[in-house]
Amino acid sequence: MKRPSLIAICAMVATLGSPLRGEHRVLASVVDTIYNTVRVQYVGVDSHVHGLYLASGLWYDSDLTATVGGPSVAAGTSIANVVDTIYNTVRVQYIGVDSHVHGLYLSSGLWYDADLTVIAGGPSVAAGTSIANVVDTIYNTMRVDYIGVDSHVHELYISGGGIWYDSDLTATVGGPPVISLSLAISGNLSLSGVTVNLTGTGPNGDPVSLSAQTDSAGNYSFFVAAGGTYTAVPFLSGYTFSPASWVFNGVTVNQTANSTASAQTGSLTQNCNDISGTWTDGNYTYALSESAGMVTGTDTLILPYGSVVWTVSGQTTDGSVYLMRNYNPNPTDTDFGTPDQEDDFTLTFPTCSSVTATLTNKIPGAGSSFLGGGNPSTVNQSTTWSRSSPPTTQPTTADVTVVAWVDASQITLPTPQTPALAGKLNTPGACTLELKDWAQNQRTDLNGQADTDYANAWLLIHSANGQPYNNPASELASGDFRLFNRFQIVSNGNIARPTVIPHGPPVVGWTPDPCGSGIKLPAQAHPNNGYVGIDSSSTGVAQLNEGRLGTTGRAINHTINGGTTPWIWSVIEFNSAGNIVIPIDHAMFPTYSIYLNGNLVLTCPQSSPSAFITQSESYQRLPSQIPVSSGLTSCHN
Amino acid sequence: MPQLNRLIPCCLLMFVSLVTPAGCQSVSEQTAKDEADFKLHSLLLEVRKNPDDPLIKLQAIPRLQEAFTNALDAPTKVNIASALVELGQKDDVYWSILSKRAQEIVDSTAPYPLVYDANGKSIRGAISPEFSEWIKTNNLSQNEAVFDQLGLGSDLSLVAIAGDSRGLSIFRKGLSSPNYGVRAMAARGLAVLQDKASIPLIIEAARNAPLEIQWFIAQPLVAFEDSRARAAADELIPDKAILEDLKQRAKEKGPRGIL
Repeated sequence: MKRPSLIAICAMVATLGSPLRGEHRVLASVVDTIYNTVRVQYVGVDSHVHGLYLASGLWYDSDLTATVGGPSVAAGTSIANVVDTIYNTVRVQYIGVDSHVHGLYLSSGLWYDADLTVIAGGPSVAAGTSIANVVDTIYNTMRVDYIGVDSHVHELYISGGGIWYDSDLTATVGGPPVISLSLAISGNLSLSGVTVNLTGTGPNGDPVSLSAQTDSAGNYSFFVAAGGTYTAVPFLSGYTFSPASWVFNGVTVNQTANSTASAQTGSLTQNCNDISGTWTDGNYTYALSESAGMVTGTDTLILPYGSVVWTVSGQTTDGSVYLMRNYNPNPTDTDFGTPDQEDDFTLTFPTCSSVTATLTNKIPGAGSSFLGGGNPSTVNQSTTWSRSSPPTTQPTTADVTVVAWVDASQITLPTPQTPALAGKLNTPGACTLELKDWAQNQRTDLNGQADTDYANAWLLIHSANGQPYNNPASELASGDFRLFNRFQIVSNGNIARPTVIPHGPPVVGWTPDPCGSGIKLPAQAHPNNGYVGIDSSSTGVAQLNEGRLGTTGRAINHTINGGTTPWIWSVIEFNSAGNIVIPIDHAMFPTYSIYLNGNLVLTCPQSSPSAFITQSESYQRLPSQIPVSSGLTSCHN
Repeated sequence: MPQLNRLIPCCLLMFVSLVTPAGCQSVSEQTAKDEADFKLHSLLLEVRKNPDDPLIKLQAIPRLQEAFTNALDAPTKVNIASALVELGQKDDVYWSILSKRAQEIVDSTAPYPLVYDANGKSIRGAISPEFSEWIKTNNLSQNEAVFDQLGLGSDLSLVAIAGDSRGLSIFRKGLSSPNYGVRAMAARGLAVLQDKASIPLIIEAARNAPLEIQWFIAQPLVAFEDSRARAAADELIPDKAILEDLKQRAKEKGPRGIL
């Protein structure tokens, strides 16, 4: 039988009205000598494997993926088919969205799907690679070759009466890894402990997010897929880097990216004559001023990453406490609000750490309403005014803590795919194997994305998360389901003010038992997924990478503790000016509060609760949305 | 982060063995064990999804037999034995470990942990006084004991899935368990065996349970081609969406579809 040409196949597709994928087109045809037909398999726009076949001179289309209930085809991969004359079947092998090699095969006229990766125990397939197959009539076996995530060539083959096995051919022969898979991006920053974050997309559009730290010699390295687009950004609190980032577009050979580190400096100057000054941190200069006068004797300037507090207080020689109102440094008249009772005073500032005020009370006679309730006939006393802040040691450290959490009250249960699943979750004691597996962190496939979304939402709601209190430390201690990111910006490589918010390993709180006991599982420490340098002695800087909800409907505590899929974490790094260091990083803050030097300054509501459950990107909070530029005073939704 | 410690001898063993071999120690032992466990559960899941697939049978049986031999803990052995019996391996070595566990479950006299109000609705977070007394007597941790008791039913479901007629008497006894989860899974086991004589017993077991959980015990009634069973299911499963869902599953996959 004549093998059909590509044009002929396209014509067939047009004839049959079947979908044909425009991108990553994959097509394979074979003459089926077992069932006496011609078969053409291709991937449709629905990412399903479709099979066209001839019967009595007519072409037919069959959605093989739907027929066997197998997974969709992974983007950018290929399919392979073959007539297996050894086992008398037709086989179509493809790479599923689960990164496993799947084999469709015919038995007694029916198609079946086998997850060859699972049953042979091989590694997952490297993203964007293809597979090849062959019927080996010399050794009487069927062979399927692919590139594993370990960059080795693997072969799945049949032996011993039909059993599939995996063989690591690269390891067997001692050969090198597949060269086209990865390249190194490395460099030297002349500084140890620098975190380098690399984000971007792989050659197939898959997101990439990696983090590395420089070693004692300042070296770092990444291994990434060739052909992708990546941005690498170095960061260490208190330092700037030149260049600040590197961008690699479609590179296919190893790259070197060095940068020079410079320590940031901060300084405070003030004009002692009028109690004003400037705070300079190397990037921005902030003016210090008494915006409301010295009404209570205290004035505070809030910086994006800290605050400077001025306190003015004084005492007369008779012990009366003055509260200075409507202070105006020059001229020196102060009106206490009572007509014809005027208190004049002058202030001089001999040093920057003390203020001497000379006060003259012009109120004659008794009955003065002068503050303090005294009844002096005249007052002409000197008092000393002190300024407690800025401190002698200038605050060169910013301390911004972002507390992000899932606000259960804003979560709405989506519609489940399987009503019985919803029924079980909502019936305490209705514990099935599926739910128990789920609770015990074992693999459990629910019945589709809708069920996964429902189950995740159910768990979140029943975790009873709410708004944090005002003290993050107590949140940690209570084990509430909250996530803490703390960023301390340093100018000299040291962490300053480490005791503002004691932070140990980030803690997540109790999760509900899917079997419905109502008993709270205890708080658990977040695993070391994606974070570097944070420790319980408060000497580390949090570097927490993106995480997300589990994708297969596993229990939340599996997601948290499974070691492979982190929970909702993010990286938000500020430099000493309070600016975001990595604006493109992924942040997932459904709801968050910002603490400045331990004080709650802002709480922002949850974004897109429903999108959060379905992992849509719209629920994400990007670091750029943290309102540093407005002094952390307004939410950016 | 790449797993740097994967290519070690122990891990290589994992590719041919689904269960960590005894005495195999390495710095990444836990990682390798997790990986092996994940592979085992993936395979078990494949078996449960497609127990009639000839390739799955061909492929899974020898691997599960090997895993059964290497498994060190009883729950894993029970899990594997269940899959093997479901795949038609009637060897006594598999059934005996299954039936032993099942008998322990149905013989248990432990009080049920949950408390129900006058309307038959459970009181969230409350533990029954009888259960509290029982755990005190047996010197058990409350949380662990509650989890264990609520998980008993799912343990029994491993025997129910297996569909071995040798379990008939065990399932019938399970219908009178004080543990409603055990009752529910015993009823499923009887449905898998299509033991129509047990239909009245299943109905009674459901009706004698608190209202909230009656539907869960009554679920397998939809898997019987029997008018009494269908009528009782219609009555005891008030949520029509759940009822239709179960009927559809039973129609598509038989009694195992509602496990």
